[in-house]
Amino acid sequence: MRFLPVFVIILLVSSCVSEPDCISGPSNNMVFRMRDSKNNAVKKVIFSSILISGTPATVPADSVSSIVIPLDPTMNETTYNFSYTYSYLSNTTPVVRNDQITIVYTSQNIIVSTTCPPYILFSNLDVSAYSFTEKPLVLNRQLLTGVTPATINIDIKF
Amino acid sequence: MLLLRQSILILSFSILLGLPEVDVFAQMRPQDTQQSPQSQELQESQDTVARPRIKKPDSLKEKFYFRSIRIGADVISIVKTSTTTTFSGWEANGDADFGKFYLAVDIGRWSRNFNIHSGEYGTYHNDGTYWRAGLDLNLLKKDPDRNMFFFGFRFGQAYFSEQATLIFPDDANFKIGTKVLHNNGVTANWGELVTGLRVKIWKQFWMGYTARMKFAQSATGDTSFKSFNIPGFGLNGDSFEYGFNYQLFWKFPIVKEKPIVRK
Repeated sequence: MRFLPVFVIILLVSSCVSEPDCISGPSNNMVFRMRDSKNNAVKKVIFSSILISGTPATVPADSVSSIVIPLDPTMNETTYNFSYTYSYLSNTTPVVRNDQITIVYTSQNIIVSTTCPPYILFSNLDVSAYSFTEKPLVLNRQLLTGVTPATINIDIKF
Repeated sequence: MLLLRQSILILSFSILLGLPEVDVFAQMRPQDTQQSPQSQELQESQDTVARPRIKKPDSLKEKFYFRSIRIGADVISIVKTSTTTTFSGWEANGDADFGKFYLAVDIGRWSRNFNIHSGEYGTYHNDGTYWRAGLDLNLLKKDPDRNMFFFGFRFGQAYFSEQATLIFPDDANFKIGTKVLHNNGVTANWGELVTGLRVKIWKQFWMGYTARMKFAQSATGDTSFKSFNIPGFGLNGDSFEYGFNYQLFWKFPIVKEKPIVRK
């Protein structure tokens, strides 16, 4: 009988600590990883520009094997224009290529708590159009925020 | 005189906290530690001569029949409604006494208003009704007043609508701004494990409390945004929700209590 008040207090205190954590950082960042179309190895690519539909901003890029770029949170699809240098053979002169990929998704508005900013959860990611030689592979259909290391969403073969 | 005042004080606090002077574990203890000489002789003879055990009928086993109903209300809901601006609601509780088992039903209304981060990220409002139903198992079998210390479970369901004005923080590339969102006709279900007390205070007047661990919630119809606060349940998150009711009851006897007769 004497343990009952303790049990009740534990229940009440537990309810105080059940408040969820805030989402830190933007929730619309998607991670692309580049792979070599010949041997499927992770490949570094030199981007001259990446243009995202719905925004005039061009994401500056360098020689990278993966890149984090945002989805348009106001729409249900986002198109990316990649401009990059590509060598057909290791001893040939690199040329500039342009390729497009369109990602479709569903979004859900989420209130985390009364102390945190709301965020949008993006899920059901899929590739609806592309100009690459091989269809990009969707690895994770949901954007995860605050996860280290970042979860790769889509593999693109160059 | 001093002893009397102390007893009154202890009783008052017990009633306030819903902790009656009942010994829950009394029935689990051995009945008497001191044995009479006759019973000692009998014990010795039983030790030396092995006899087949005859199972006696358990006269203390409670019969399963409908004895009474208790109808009451949650005091905490009423106090919260009158003292806070973020909550408005009520909850009525009832149970039917079938002996060891009690059929419990709760109905209520719940409306909540929140400013998200003091209004910096918007506002939230919901309004709806809910009910719960389940069984309680009374662990106090020998109590003459039929006081209860119980464990049980509930199934809960809520019907509600919710509105939110959400102000999203600016993104480096996109500006979302403010969204005005509505979820109408949302239905939510959940389960609960409950424990608590019911104590007879005076004649048919009872008090008690119920502590709830709520889990496995699911909501349908929240198309505009993920349902945030479910009436009767609480936050629609990933973890358990906990609840606490302090209740006042009035008991309505249905049939006259059959006395417990030891054969």
